[in-house]
Amino acid sequence: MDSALIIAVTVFLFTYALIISERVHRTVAALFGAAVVLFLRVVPWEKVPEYLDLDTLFLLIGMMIIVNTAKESGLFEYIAIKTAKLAKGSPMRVLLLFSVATAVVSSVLDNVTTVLLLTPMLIYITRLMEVDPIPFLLAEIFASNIGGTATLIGDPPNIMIGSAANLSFNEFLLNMGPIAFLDLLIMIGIIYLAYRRELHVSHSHRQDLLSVIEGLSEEEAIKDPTLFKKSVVVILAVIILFFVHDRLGLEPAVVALSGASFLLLWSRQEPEKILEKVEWTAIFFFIGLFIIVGSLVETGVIADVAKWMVGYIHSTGEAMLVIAWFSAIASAIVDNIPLTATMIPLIKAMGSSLNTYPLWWALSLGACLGGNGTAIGASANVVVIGIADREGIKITFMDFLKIGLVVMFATVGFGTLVLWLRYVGV
Amino acid sequence: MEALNRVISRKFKNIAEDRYEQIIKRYREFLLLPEELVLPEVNSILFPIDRFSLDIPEELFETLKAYAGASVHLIYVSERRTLWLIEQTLGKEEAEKLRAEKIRFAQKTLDTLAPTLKKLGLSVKTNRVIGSKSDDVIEMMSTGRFDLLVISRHFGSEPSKTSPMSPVVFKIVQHVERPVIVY
Repeated sequence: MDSALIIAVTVFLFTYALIISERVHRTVAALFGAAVVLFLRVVPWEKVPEYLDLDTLFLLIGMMIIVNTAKESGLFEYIAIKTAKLAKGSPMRVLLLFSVATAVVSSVLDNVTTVLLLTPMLIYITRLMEVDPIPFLLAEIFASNIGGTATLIGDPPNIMIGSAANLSFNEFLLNMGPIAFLDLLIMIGIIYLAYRRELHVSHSHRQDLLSVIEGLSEEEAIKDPTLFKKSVVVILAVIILFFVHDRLGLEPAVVALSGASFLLLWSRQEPEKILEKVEWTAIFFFIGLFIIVGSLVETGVIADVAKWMVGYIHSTGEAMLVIAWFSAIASAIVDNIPLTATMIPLIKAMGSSLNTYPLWWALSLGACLGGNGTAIGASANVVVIGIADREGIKITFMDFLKIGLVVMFATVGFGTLVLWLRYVGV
Repeated sequence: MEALNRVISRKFKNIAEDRYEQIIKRYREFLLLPEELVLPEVNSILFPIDRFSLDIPEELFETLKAYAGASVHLIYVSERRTLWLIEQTLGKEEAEKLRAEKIRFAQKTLDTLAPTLKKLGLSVKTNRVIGSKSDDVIEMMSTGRFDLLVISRHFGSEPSKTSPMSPVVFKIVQHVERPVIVY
């Protein structure tokens, strides 16, 4: 076996192990792995631009700038308070409305920011209602991962898939949107069945509760009304542009960067302040991963694995099932970003003998929804559990696993069924 | 399983801990719990003063008006350790002179401030204490006899440009579980 191949596989596995254990920061692990394969010339320096997916990187940077600018205005706290008021102190409505709000916001913004901003409000409301906050928090996690599945910009794996397969925003919305919507309903149903006894407050308590909730002022959450209006306008304009980006011949990254630069120009926010809040650790994590996966492509590992898989898989339908379920189960264990980064070249390599178009949706489905399986499956899970822990609410790995696996199998199962009916037929 | 819970905690720290701290700080600006929305009933107030905390702003008196009918325990606290140090360096006689001077000053201060508080509708009891400025106040508050502590941010030390609150006050507010007005 050639030494470059051994180095590429070893670095890949070692980096994965470090990412799973989180012994060192995942960005450090990815950058270190990338440095090793570059230093040992497994990936030649001149080929680095080929492996760096600039569409993904710039789309992420653009959206992060928009979110960070909008965040300064208090827009997300406004959404959280408005949702809480609409729920009118009914636990079932809180569950439903917060799940829908989380899914909708997650479908256009990153999941971590969404849950970071909505979870404190959700915990606050459950404390007022004096109900167990765990079902609400679990529903929020699942809704965030499900909502992210719906669009091209909802979750990093979708951004990577869209860029690699040149899929448009509308294609994502048409293929994954209905699945995400129905999966959201399935998830809410599962949470209701599992925790229905805890979703009640007495009538008298609800009256007291209503007076407190009505006392909340969403206007108070708006720190900067002018920036608030400008942020809403730019976010809406960017979403509209995403709908027509393919017709205009614009890459999604160009739409995001244009929206970001226009918002910076219009809002007159200090660029240093906004740009320093861009999650550069996440961007460098992607850069490291792209180079590590590039080393697997460069040494022919990906092509060999694809050839081996194609030897066992005889149809697109079979490939769809394998990819959806493999990526779902793997995503429940490892971060879905490195998983997607590895699966993309693998699916591309399978293109010579299979129709890969349905496989991208299978990958999106598995990578995004697989994260619901375990507490470490997605960043949103870790963030909500971490916040809950800070607030004295314990959600253990096992607590999560019991319900997470049910949600994962139900939503991925339903999604694969829809994809099967659509692309394979009865 | 404990190892996995530790992984979650490490991941949270790496992904979002700093951002969460900022967000929760922002939420606390406008979200109050029901118990925080109810004004605490105040019947008795502890009001410690010393030579550093005599510059009382008019706004404080305005605020105290809201507690008309409550009783105020106005105490002038002198630091025992200071007197002990003087006794060690200058002798017992000098220390006694200083103590007498301090008592005179304390009484004069109490006699000046008490009528102002009485005018606000508060019943005032005065006292002079020689002890530890921080420990004695904390101990008095811990008895549960007082519903509110009113204290100057300069209590216990000269004001400085770098520190908006004296270390003595900082220690007191960290240990007191009842509401505190720091002026």
